[in-house]
Amino acid sequence: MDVSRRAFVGGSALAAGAAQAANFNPVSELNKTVPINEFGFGIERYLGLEEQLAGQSLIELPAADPLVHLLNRCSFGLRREDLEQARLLGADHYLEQQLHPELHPDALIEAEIAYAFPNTLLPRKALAYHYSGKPLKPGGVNLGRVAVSNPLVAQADLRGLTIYRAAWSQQQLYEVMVEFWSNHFNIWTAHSGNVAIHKLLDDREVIRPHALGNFRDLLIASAKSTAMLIYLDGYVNTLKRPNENYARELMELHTLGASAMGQADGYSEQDIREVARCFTGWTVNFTTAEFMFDPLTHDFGPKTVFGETIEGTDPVMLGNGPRAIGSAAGGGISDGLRVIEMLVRNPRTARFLATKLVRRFVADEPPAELVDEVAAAYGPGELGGDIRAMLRTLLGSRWMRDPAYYQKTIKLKRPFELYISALRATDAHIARDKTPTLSLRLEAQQHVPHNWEPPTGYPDYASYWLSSEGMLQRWLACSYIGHGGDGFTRVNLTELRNGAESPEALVDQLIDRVLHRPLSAPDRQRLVDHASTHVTAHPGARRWDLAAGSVLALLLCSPYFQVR
Amino acid sequence: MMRRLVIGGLGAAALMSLTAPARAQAKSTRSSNRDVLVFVFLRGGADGINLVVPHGDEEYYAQRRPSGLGIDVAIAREELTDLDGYFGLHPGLADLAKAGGAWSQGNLACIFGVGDPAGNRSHFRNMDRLELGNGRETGQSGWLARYLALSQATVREPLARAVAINYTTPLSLAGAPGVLTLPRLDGFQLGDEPAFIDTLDSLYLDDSTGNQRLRSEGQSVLNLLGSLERTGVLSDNQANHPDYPDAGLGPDLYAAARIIDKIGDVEAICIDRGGWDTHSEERHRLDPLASELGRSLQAFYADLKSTGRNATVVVMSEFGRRMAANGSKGTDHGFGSLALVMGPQVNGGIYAKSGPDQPWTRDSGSFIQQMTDANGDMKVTTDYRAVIGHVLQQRLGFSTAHDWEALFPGHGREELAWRLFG
Repeated sequence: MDVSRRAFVGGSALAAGAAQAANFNPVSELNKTVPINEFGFGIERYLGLEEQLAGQSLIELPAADPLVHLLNRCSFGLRREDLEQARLLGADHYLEQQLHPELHPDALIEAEIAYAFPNTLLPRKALAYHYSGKPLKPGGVNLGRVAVSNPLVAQADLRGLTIYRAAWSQQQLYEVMVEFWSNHFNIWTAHSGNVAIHKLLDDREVIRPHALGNFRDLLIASAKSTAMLIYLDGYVNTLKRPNENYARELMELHTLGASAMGQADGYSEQDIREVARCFTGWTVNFTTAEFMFDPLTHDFGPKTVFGETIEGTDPVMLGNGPRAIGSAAGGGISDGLRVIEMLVRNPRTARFLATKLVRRFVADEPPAELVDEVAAAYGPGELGGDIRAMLRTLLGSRWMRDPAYYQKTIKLKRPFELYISALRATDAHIARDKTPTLSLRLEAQQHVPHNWEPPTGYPDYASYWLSSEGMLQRWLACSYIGHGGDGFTRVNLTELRNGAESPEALVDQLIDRVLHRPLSAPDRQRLVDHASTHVTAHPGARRWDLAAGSVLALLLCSPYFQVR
Repeated sequence: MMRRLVIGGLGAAALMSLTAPARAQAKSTRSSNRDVLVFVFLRGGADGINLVVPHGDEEYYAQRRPSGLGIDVAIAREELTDLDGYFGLHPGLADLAKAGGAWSQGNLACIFGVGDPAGNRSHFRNMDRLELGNGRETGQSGWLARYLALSQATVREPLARAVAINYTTPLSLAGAPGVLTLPRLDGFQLGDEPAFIDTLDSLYLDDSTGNQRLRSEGQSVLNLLGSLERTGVLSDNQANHPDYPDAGLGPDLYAAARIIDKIGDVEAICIDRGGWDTHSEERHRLDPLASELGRSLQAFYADLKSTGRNATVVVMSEFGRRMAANGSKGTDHGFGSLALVMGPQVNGGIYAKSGPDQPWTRDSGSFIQQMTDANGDMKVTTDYRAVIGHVLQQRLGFSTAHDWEALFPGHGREELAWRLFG
């Protein structure tokens, strides 16, 4: 596959040359905008394909118990110690803890991060200088472990710490939401030179602080994100040369959704142009690596957005003082902030976000009634944007808790989730300094963190990920881990089998230890037969460990482990 | 692979029942010597008039080389390979016009003004439009998937009716079960011992779950692992075919040629190439891509000629680019685009309409002026569905008896203004 397959959106010169073995993924759009239960009139209507392609569940399996199901859906996969803690606390208490990571910090993981990725914790300017390979000026403190670095190291560090946190943080729901918002406000770190550096800052200062907070704060932070300003060309959006890239995606992908295009309560092409004008002058100070509003490139003229008039100001009349950034009436940085407020208060935003959340946690085709409930929890007017309330409604609903409902809602693990969940289920050992290289296994599955080129984010529905190549790569990744590790990871098979030395005991032990859910009787028997054959075919002192590896690989490859 | 003996063609049979529903079977009439459709999607909005350049039109140079700004996005006459005294090929496409080239053989059609008249200038939304082919931007099935569902396989139990040379399946094939998706020919192996694969197979083989998607995908992959190996397609080496570029479209079209040669069952192949979004420093980005496209297409064409296989290549992009250069030595999103149709049966030439019933000719005046809409973009005067429909009808046996409304919902049958074949 060629290098620049992903290099299609941006004008990045670097992208064409960057060693990003990747392809562009066309189906992304479905995910980005619309509930995929909106059918076009198609052949499936009368050929009976519709049921096969859409309405059906992926697979029917014996149900997992409610707590196991809940944890499976709001984590990167079950890990025994998290499950034990949740059993002690009960579902509701466990969820409340998960919704308030700030009250229950995971000190261990932060210490590990500080050890493994110290440069990601540098102050903003120092971090930017460090990874761009420029030492701070004399007098500046060089805090980095490595004196001079480069953006590719920033990208590797970001991938590494994303994987590390997803795999081992106890604040699993928080990490799931960090991934959700990183995907919602997607930024492609290979876009151009320093985007990876700015995305490190975006992760730290935009996504993580607000992942369980208020959507308004998150949206404002994202609009001012230096990474976003570069990725979607906001930093070159000026009075003389307006650039509509960010304005379009702000509405199409971040708030209202593409289905709002052309609707009375949505937006028009004219709105895109006017919103772009509102955000002129929002740019990046590349010396300090900070957001900057530049009044010299802002369009102070009057604008009409969503039918509302934003008054203009004569910038000359404002003088050069602080007021030069604008007036209350309009003109200046307040233009963009007003647009954001209008978007946050538009009920379409609540609905768009609710749909995506329900798709993330419940089903590819979000049940409409649940979307309604979650959208209502978003809150009205100035109180709107309550992410935590939306999650509380969602995770407390019968669709998450009642087997009669959740049995009908299958979510295929996307490759990142599949890989992380395999690490978690087996308590795989990852060498700290090897963490960044874990993304190699994800590269084969085209799901490396922060590596999706278009602003849509990675698709969140099964049909995108299920293909012959996708299936093969899923099995390969699972098979490597199951058989004891893949060069980056090591799985202790002796510990996992826990002394089992008969085919039945071995299979039951691994099901209990790794899967936490029942297998159908025929499937269990198939594995018992397999284990039995395996020890006969591979005699020797390590025969039970080897059989454990084979059974474990099969369990991870099986349909049971492929779904959340 | 031992397990193949055990379950035989079961996966393929299940696949067959999905891809050829009873209704379609009853209606289908087709010849067995039809072409394979190779659909190449240039993602990002390829700049058609910088690939097939109207150098005889001063207006082209006026738009692309505005005076006084130091901006030049035009291809100079001396760089071009002239085709007919008015149009010329970007230097990267020169292979197509050399002796034995697809153009020289009269087998390359260049159609301007192609697109969806109801389309827009958003990459993602327009790509979805072009791939879904239902007149909308959402839906469950792509036009190629529907074509497969409406027509009948060429063999009774096809190994795969469609192949996406990619990591993931493109939207045009969405909803088509049993698509073979693979990014390269040499890596499609699981590599585990037979007992492991047999047990894995059994875990994906459960009657009670019927046609469930995960199981059917798993089953079909396990089948493909064995049957692909038997075709010999996995072991062919690109080094034996030095004319193909070694990156991008090169390996993909090379793989397509091998699949067409070795797997008779395949009816359609999808290939993607991104990178065409030339907002700035256009020549810097466009030149290597054009060269890759030209060399790959010509190598594929020559390959078809030597193997004697029949295929038609259709190259499209989600939109063209603005006629005029922008301030960053690039071009912004436009509307109508250039489509290429290439194959041993194609009637080559330059095809364009300046209005609904107005074929553009040199006598009509400036090509650029005649083809430009109010927005400064190329008009859409030829519906992309008419181009695809024409190829399906002329070369893949999709007859007028078929249900065009089901193929392109909301659009129905539209005749192309020209006959590209025969």
